[in-house]
Amino acid sequence: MAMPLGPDNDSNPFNPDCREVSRYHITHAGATELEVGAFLAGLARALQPRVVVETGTSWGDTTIQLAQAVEANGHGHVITIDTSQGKVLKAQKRLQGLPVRVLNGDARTYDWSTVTKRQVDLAFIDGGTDRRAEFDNLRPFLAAGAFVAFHDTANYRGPREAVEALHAEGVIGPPLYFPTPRGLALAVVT
Amino acid sequence: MSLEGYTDPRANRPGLYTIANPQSAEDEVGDFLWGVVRLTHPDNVLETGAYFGDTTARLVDAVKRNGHGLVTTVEKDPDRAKHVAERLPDARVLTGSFDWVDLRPPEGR
Repeated sequence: MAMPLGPDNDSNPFNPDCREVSRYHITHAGATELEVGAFLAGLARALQPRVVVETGTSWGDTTIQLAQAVEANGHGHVITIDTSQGKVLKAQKRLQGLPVRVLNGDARTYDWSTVTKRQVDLAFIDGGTDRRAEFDNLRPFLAAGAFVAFHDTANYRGPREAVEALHAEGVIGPPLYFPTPRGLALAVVT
Repeated sequence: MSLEGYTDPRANRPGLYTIANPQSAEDEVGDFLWGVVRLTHPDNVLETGAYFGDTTARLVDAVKRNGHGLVTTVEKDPDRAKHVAERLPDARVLTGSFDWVDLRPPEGR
């Protein structure tokens, strides 16, 4: 069940720009805020993506919201990847019947050509510690003008630096940072 | 209804989008804004152009889910404003020109 986010269930420092951390909810310690999933689901409705990719399935809280949005669209599908076989098996069970493919693998090195063409219109980068490598590996499969969201841009050094570097290199447009507990950045691939 | 053949020809695959009433904002835009309100937890949401209140309804729903916040919507047409005010008693519906000086609640509210 959902619980308000707070120091009791997350030991990482929260985004100093977030006005009220306890307004956000998680199902497990370390899970993505459910409100981030709600936002990404809305984005999936507005963009009508052909393919949505998520790195870091974990418990599938965000995946299920994305998948329900894609199901409402009536076309397209979600591909999600996680390194943990146990998590993948649980997520597969939970996501049964929805337009989702759950992969067991490493997003930094996975051969995306086996599962998609250059049709990824929306991506959520939320895997391991090297988000830049996850993005770079996926980049050839991102469609022109694809929207990419990056999680954890507030409380770990890596994701924020990856986003800043991608923007500085002209790979993505100016990132929009949301003042959520763990931080969320959204940008368009140039 | 579908937006096929009804919209800006530059739009990306317009047939994929749906509307509740002719000239309404796309349902998918309402769903997106619902997500934005859930993500950003605003205390105040302002919409200009309530029309039939389809997007307003999504904004009101998101604010309710958040547990706090107020949606204010401005509609030029007093009859439509009245309709939206009746449909969405939790929203603050204002009518008049979009000039702030002139804004007031619809008649009877």
